[in-house]
Amino acid sequence: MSFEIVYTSVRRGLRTGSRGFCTVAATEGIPRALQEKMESFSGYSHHEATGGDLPVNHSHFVVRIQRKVYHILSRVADAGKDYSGRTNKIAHHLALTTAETERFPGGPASLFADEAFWVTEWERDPQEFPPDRLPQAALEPSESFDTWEYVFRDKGWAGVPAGIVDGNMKPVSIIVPSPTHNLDLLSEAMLLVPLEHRWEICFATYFLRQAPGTVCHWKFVLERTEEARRMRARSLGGVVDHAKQNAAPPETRFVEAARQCDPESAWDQTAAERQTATERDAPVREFSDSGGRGHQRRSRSRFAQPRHPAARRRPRRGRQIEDDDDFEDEPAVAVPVRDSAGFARKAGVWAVIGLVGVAIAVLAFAGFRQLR
Amino acid sequence: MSETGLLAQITCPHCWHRFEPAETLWASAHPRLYGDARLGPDVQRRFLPTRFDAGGNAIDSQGSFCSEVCCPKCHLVIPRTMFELRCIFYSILGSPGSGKSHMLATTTWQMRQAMGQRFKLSISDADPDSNRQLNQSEERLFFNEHPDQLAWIPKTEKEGELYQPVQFGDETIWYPRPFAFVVQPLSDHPQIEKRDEISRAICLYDNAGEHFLPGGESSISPATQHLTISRGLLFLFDPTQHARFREACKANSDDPQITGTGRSHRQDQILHEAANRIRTHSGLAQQQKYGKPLVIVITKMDSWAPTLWPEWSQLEDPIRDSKQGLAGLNTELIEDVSRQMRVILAKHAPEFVNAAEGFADKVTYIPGSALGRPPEEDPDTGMLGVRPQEVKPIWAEVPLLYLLNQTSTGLIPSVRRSQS
Repeated sequence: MSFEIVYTSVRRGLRTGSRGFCTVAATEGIPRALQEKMESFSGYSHHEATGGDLPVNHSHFVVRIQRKVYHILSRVADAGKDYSGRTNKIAHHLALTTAETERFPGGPASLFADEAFWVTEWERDPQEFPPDRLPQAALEPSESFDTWEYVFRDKGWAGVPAGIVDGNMKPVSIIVPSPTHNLDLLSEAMLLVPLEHRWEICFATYFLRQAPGTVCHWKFVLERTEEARRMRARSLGGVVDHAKQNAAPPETRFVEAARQCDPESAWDQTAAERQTATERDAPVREFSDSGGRGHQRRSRSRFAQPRHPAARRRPRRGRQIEDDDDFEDEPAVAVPVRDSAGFARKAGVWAVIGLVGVAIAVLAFAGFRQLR
Repeated sequence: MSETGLLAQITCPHCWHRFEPAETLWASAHPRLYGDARLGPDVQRRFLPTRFDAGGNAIDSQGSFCSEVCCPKCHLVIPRTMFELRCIFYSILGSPGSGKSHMLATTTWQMRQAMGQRFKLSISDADPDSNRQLNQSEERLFFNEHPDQLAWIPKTEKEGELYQPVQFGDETIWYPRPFAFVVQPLSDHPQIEKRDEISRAICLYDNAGEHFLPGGESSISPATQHLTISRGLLFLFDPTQHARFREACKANSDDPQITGTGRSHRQDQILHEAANRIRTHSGLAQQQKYGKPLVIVITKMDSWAPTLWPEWSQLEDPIRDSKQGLAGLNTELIEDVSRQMRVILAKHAPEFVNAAEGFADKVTYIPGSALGRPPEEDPDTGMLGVRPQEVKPIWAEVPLLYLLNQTSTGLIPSVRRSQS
């Protein structure tokens, strides 16, 4: 079941006694923990460096709350003045379970195209939303990558954020001169991402700060902000910087696909590589139907509701699982940790203990024989 | 204070955890050591050091010299001065729109002006990065490049830049960002030899007013727990949010905050809620009174005082210079004004006086105005703003100076009113 809240500064909120910044509308029966989590995603900075064009933050994050995984889609924007004559913002959050995301194969960015769904002002009394209100996913934009060319002078840059699905999902920061085109940049870059990976990409079109426990793969950062300075000084992943006009993106098939305006050519190679990997590597046989999905993509059946690969994995044993589909999405939110290093260390320790044990046994045996 | 010059116990200004210096974590410095369990992948890893350089700085596992020290519980960076100087926490509370951010920005600005010249004390940011938001507010009001144009301080949010997320297992807790200052005597201070005893770190918080509303604090945002460890409370009572005050001033004012409607707020309930939280967290019994000073700052004096307190135009400066060259605070004058304020409040808002005096033993009522004039409505946006060139604070710094006088020995001395 999907849940949503609207959060802004008003005279009277939905909960008795609340006013100022508070929730003014929420889905009936929304879990309290989920509501608090969504409220915490409502941060907004009335940034002055944008030259009057106040940014809108469209974001998608994956969170786990009480053993359930939710995809939270948010639209946070300036909302003029509030009842007390001070700055205001409005945040509209929608939480979907993994099962519900399968109804939107175009990916999370496509849901923001339904402008009628997203609340941009609130002048009404507080209200409860009926359950299962969902936006209409719009058709994807043209595959021209014109916005990337306009902002970065080279369509190929669109392939840099998309390329993370091929590697280790390292985040990419995209420094833009103004917030005007961020949603178009997002939608165009998402075209290059194969359908089955689109809901794995977390993004923010007006990135302010990384909250621990969440991953943001595509961070759109405004020029002349503290965050842009920080990203230029040091970024854990790639940086696409509009200020580096003479630089060229690394030659990858995603970059090439963007330049050729043929995003599906990148998908086909991804599928082909996965097919090779499947044949080579038996443990990933569960994904062996990717070739079939590749065929679906070639026939442009984009909205034929391909199943999310995570939904095919087996549930974990020995754990109480309330919502199998949701629980299995856990890897999507995991912060990269050095598990392999820890495992190697433990294995090394056990090997040493084993060798010492053998040595003691040999010595004991030799000593025993001498005594006899 | 130990032989090392460090305090025996340190209170984290972020999560208020008390710990010993030996438990302190350090932030690694090597570029390869990114990713912390509490603060996420973008932050340098925290660690308990085993190797130090000759200067006492930790060395991380890659051999880099580290400089930032962190709380062992929340892993957030703590200014080093807080390990050496005794820290005083003060809480500022009030309803949404009562002027907390304006008052805080004006107070710190005014103190920066007065401390050096008159009290022979230096006041500096303990952590400029942490104080960034407050410094921006000061700049908007007092350092604005367009002093003739309307400026405003954005409404304080319940989430965002003023809060810092920390991960505990599956839970993300949002702690309020502290504003920390260091106050210490200058070389011409008469008691410079007692520098270590007098010097203090001061920690203040700018909460959103919504946090003080009943139910405004959540399990993931313990934003007002600093109330428990505060050495004193500053409660901002806003008469323009009180229906009877507004009614009394309406005929004589063109302030949009007085003439407008729908701004009324039960401020006594906010004080009751704060009292309940303090009692709950500190284990104070219902019949016990709060023993630390409670200062009620009656804000926006320029709006209500012309009607309700005509004497305000002859209000003296409570900071008095002595013959020794060191200024002091005229506490007699402040207490005299407090008695007058109590009479006005008891007439128009008796429920609030009842709430304050029912909670705390020592209540002082101090009037103040952060801007010294009513705000104007921006014809384009409809927002309330003020022209920086017209900002003239009145008694804005007095409540904090008075708290310092009452709670820290020797920092802000008292002076008696001269017989003349």
